[in-house]
Amino acid sequence: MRDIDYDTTTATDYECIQCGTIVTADVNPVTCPECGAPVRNREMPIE
Amino acid sequence: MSSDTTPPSTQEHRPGSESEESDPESTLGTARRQLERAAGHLDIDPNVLERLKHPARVHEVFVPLERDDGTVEVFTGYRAQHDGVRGPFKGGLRYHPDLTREECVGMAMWMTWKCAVMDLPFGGAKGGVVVDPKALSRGEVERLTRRFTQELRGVVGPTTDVPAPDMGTDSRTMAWFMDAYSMQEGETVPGVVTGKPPVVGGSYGRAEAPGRSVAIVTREACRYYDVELSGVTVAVQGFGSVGATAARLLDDWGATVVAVSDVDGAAYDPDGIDPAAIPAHDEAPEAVTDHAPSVISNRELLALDVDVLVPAAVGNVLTADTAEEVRADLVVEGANGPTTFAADAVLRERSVPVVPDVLANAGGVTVSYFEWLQDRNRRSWSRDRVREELETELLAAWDAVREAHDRRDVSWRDAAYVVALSRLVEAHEARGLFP
Repeated sequence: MRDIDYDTTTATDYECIQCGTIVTADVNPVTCPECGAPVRNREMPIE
Repeated sequence: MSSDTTPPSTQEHRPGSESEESDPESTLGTARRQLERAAGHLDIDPNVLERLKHPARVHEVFVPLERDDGTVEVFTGYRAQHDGVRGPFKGGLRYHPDLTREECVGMAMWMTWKCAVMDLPFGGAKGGVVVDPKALSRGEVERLTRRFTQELRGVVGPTTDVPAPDMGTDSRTMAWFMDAYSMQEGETVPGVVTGKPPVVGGSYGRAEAPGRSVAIVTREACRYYDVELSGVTVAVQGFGSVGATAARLLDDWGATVVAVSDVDGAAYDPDGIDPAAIPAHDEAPEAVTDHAPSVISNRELLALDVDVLVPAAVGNVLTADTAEEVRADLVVEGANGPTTFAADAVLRERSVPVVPDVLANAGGVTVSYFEWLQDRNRRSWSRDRVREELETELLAAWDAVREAHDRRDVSWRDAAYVVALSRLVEAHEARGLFP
């Protein structure tokens, strides 16, 4: 299943699952700098 | 929604109006090919099969947005609803400049298969707006989302079509969507979307769900092949929420994770690495490879001699070329579509089993279902309960797919689609064709 091509050359938005903070970074920060909860790559589908 | 009463900004396309010729590797081409492969293993009514090849409806809307500088720009939005025989439509909303109508239709079909594999009471849908959210301010994204909600208001709802976050959208977007919908309905309707912040009806356990399902399915697959997890070596491509969660859980359960990667490359240690320590939480995020005893490329990771390979980054990483280099004994698809059609054939020819994405990473849509249930009952589940229920659902789905795999002597992918199609056909036959 070919989905939209992901752009791995630009900084990516990561959203905090808990507090909604958006972090733009080149690499996954893994945890939110505000509350420490896990973050999700906003460029990746959830379902 | 008839054309003579349809507002100018909303148009509905029926299957007969589709003019795109889908190439085999497009989302729509792939979804239809998967349907036909599964149908080849079943004795089903060709009339039902014909219905499943087409979406129920595709809504195209035009969303005017007042930019911060006062100019008005109009964006195109879509919501493709594929099949609702088993329940409300379910699927994400994405904000992406390359989004197309055909993409939405193909992804909606794929969601129908995924929900049916997991035996969730949903059909498939997908949609979004053709826009680059990074080019908009926060205020513009909010206004766009609220207006898009209004344009879709007549075709979504907690019992009709339940969107969720997707590429370029997030819990904040879903909260705005829910608010805009609720304000027009005159009551708070948390069940209209999933993926919301917990404070307004979102579920705990959402972020880890896809990775957790990958780990659980990997564990069960190893058990199927009589391999003790404590003796299993694993390579995970991608260290986002899916790959990182899967790697850490498998490590906790006794497997030896020998490699994990991000876009810069892979950390590799044949004696095992500690996924929980990569990357260390710090003020400045650090790359996976900064903590590696040795560094290899992503392509070299795919060719490692391991027991289990988990592509959990992006699609189409296993191509005909890279599939020839795979030395893993088992592939578990953590990402959506990591294996091309050609690569699938190569791996099948080489007798490398591939557990498909529609089963392995279905934790995401399953926890979405849990959120919808919690919203409908106005009762929040604990994270532990979400994990327990997810394990229960995944084990049931695994058992169904394993039974089809063994009884029909087909690949894991074909078995998953046979299970999905069987359930869809049974529902269609029970309900008949209106009127």
